[in-house]
Amino acid sequence: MAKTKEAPVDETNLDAATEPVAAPKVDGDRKARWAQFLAQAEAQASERGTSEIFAAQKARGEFDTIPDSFI
Amino acid sequence: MATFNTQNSVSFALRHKYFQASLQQAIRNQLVSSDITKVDTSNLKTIENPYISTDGTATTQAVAGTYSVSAMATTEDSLKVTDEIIVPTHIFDFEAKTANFDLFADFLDNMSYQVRYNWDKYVLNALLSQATGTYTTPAGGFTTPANIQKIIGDLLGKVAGYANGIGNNPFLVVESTDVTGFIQMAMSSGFNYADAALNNGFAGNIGGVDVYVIRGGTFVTASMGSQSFTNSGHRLFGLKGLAVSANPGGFTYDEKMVSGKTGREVVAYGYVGAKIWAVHAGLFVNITLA
Repeated sequence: MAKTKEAPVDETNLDAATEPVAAPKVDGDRKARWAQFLAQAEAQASERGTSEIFAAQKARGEFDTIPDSFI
Repeated sequence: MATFNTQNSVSFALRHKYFQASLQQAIRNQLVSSDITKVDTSNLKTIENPYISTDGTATTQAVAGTYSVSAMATTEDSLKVTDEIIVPTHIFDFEAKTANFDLFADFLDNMSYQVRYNWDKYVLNALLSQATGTYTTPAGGFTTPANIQKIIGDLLGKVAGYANGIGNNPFLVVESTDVTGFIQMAMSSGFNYADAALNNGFAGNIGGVDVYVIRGGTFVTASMGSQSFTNSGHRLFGLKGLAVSANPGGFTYDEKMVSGKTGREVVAYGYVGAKIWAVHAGLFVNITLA
């Protein structure tokens, strides 16, 4: 069982407590993974017989922005 | 010593009670895939369902007694179970013995739900990704009350006229963010229909279409197991009982002793696959929200 416990905050130094503890994700990696995902989705759409739907989604710009939920 | 008569004191001298006998859990989502598909739990990796891909050619002609032979053909179609859903955890002996709750029972209940929910989410996304029918809603989608009746009518038109058409229990799966349009439409319809919507919170059947509501974000643009889905912003319409969802052997629960740890490792898991057979793919509609 993993217990969730809030990290202690040093109230004498709130600035330090709000500093990021990890480096932000490299955007380039995410873009590469997104491109890889789309390539796989397109290939699978072809197998499923839904290539036209995928192409229409692409034309509508559904894949122009990486959704926040994409990790 | 605890200090009484302050808001912040907590004392074992004062009475506390547990609100319920089980651990509290987050509200669970409605699961709908087993209502709209045939669920196959047989222990099989692949389910075959070949179909006639070139129909026989019927000719209407003046009586002559002669004919030309035309070829017919069959094509393989199959559902392959390629993915699994696993939820593991570990309950240490000291946790199980000293907890105020039955951790094994409560955690197992939660883990079973997590497997079941992810199974449901996978099936819904798989079906939507295989639907070959297409429809784009009027601007505003389902959130605009005036659109609902047109959308329902348009969707029914896509399956009308087939033997497996309207009479075969059409369904529509929308997300919770769409509900406002349905409620407003129902409430403005008056009398019994309005009362039903008000009393029950949601009118589940409109124009013969069973409307299922799932939480927002269930249709995803993401990978689930081996499958890549691009379903965010889309909804699913189809006919009940034509698609198959596979869960070979049902869901399994296992607990085991592991080296280096007291207590038990607990894991719940299940296998998943889903398929709209090729001949029915057009009866399932990938709805794009405008």
